[in-house]
Amino acid sequence: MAKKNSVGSLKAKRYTMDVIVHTFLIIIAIIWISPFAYLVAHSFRGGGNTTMYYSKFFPETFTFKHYQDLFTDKGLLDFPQMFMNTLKIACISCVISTFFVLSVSFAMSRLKWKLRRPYMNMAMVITLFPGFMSMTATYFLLKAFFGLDEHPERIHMALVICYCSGAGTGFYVMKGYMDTIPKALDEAAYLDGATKWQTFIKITLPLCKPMIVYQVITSFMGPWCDFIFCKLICRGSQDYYTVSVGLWSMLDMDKIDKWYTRFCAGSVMVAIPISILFIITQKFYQEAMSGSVKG
Amino acid sequence: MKKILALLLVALMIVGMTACGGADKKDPTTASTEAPTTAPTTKPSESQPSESQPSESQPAESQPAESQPSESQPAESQPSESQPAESLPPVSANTEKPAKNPNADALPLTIKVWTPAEDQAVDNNWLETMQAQFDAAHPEYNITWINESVSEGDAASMVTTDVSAAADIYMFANDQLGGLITAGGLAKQGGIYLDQIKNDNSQFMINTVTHTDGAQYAFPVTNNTWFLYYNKDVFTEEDVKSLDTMITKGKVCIPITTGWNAGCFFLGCGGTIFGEAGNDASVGIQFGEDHGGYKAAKKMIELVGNSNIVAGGMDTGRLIEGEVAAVFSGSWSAAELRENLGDKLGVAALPTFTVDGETYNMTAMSGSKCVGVNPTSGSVKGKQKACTQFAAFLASADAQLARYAMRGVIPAHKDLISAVANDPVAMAEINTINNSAVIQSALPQMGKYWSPVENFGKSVANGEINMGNYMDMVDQMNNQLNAEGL
Repeated sequence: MAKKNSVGSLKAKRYTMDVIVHTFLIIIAIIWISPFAYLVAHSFRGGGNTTMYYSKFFPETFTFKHYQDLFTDKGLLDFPQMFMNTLKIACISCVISTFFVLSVSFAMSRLKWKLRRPYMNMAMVITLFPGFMSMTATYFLLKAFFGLDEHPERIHMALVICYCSGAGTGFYVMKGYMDTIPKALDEAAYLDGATKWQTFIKITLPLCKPMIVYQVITSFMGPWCDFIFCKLICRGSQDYYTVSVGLWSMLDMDKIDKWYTRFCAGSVMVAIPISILFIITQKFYQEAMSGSVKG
Repeated sequence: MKKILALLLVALMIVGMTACGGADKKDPTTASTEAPTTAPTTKPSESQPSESQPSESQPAESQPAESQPSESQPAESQPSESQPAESLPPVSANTEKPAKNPNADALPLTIKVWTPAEDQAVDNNWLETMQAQFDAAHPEYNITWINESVSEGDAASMVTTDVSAAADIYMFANDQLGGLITAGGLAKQGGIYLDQIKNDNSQFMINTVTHTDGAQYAFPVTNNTWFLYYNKDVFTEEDVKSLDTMITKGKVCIPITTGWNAGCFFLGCGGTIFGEAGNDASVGIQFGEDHGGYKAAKKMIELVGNSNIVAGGMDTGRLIEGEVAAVFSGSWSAAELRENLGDKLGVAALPTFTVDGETYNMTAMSGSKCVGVNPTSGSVKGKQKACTQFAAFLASADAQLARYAMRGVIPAHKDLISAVANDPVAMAEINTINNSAVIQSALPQMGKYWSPVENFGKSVANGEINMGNYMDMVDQMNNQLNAEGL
């Protein structure tokens, strides 16, 4: 009797524990999701009120108008162009920095050279400083190299350089992954007469596939979401704005009353490419995060 | 081995830290160290004085020595700093827009202009219209215009980042004046240009562009303040003269949670910010008991307790939704409100309020938006004169009127009041400035103003400051406002 009782109470205990944990998680989830829900809902807000203030959390009527305006009313801010600018910069930077990271990781993981360890430590120290600490210096360097004042068409190139040039120092995760690939595979390839480049391309890269996906996502999202460097380098050249700078200028005091709902619409649009990329690569992403491949 | 490595790393980190930490301060010096390399070709220091001679030839006798803008800069490093970027490029960018002016003797110039994006809207381009008119009126120049969009609120941060790469002419809100002058980004005006500033504007507007040295640095083009929007179905024109009458008839949103507006009751009861002209730092910000601070706080608490008062910011959305019948905001909200409320929209100057039987006017911190000239434009012979002429042209009555017609920006020119007399928004703005406005100071000490005042307003709105403790809180705020250092 007593035994049964204790089992019952144990069950009840577990049950109440589950309830408490899940309620807690649900509350956290609601808090976490509500800003996004708000953003999406208000990007479809109907009625004439386009200002920041709205009396309810969810709008009462819905319309597609703000998206329409965002893409057709280009007199003041050309959102489609900004979107394409950002897409271009992000895609180019993504390819270049992924290649940089892979190359550096390969060199760190597979090649033996004298300064390898000191270099790794140095890279570690450098990456401890956030990139924007040197932004003023970066601005003057880019200005001196490219003459951005007189050649605004070089702004995008400057931004790509800005995002890619430091990418090589972010090799730590990738190197860790490459270390788990058995060296025997490389040695076999060398024995068959492969060069280092061939080993890199034909042996290491295919095995790194899941990790490359992770790298692609992070190197795409960096430039896609960056605001600080865009603002610093674009300055007043509106034709070269990226979405983050464009969205920010929609919240200008003169514009906010009219543009706030379009700002919401624009923010939703920004999330779309990242979401697509993430959905496509999700399968690989999970593989990459779930542990190493044992040879 | 490990120890040495560790030591090396520490050293590297220290070096890194000092290098990175100093980066921001270093920039002017790195820029000025560039100057000597280009100096032989441009003759940095001599070029300015000799360069201002041609400009004296036209305006003749009224041009005093102070029209040499680069001379007025406080920091010694500035004149030389202005050289490097401008020294080589201007002609190379000429391909962008082919010059329309075939005059062979015309002076070729490249002039960069920053205005808000609204002035350059594709189908409604005020700036290009003005530039075409200026080109037609000045055949002696062959100007290639580079137009970029920078909002008036953003100008100071953009200019001070890199003065030499900033626009030659730009628009900014007057509270940035002090910072821009300190950074060497704003030229002092003199001669006929100074006459234009003084003749075209009210004393209030002149004060907004006057620095602590008593000189004028920019041309005002529009006012910058806030006033009352209301629903005509709820309030009559008579009602909106007094806040106390208004709250007996309908709901009002008072803006006490935003720093720019929150001081309106204090200023109304006699509070002052750096003296009458807003440029005397020694006087400080006076929001204390002897300047009516207690009365203002009492009124604010009383109002927040009233069920017809909503304490918020410049929430025009509340009026559009019909949640309140009156809000306070600036002229930038007019178009949206008119679209939503139509004929029901009323506009008025700030109302009065009554405390302890005495009546005061709600008082807005006001300023101007103005157009200024970058002294680094002086690196090319004759350019600064052309820039100043164009800035003066943008601030002329015709240009302000055109801007009003195209964009609805209310002119600051004192002779244009009759031209906008039928526009209730314009009249509300002008009346607010004339009756009850305090200059938004451009002193750097103004930085201390925003958070204490905003926090006070927020605390009143959420009930933390109440009838029991308001005296202490006013004293505390007043101390913070005048605290030494930052």
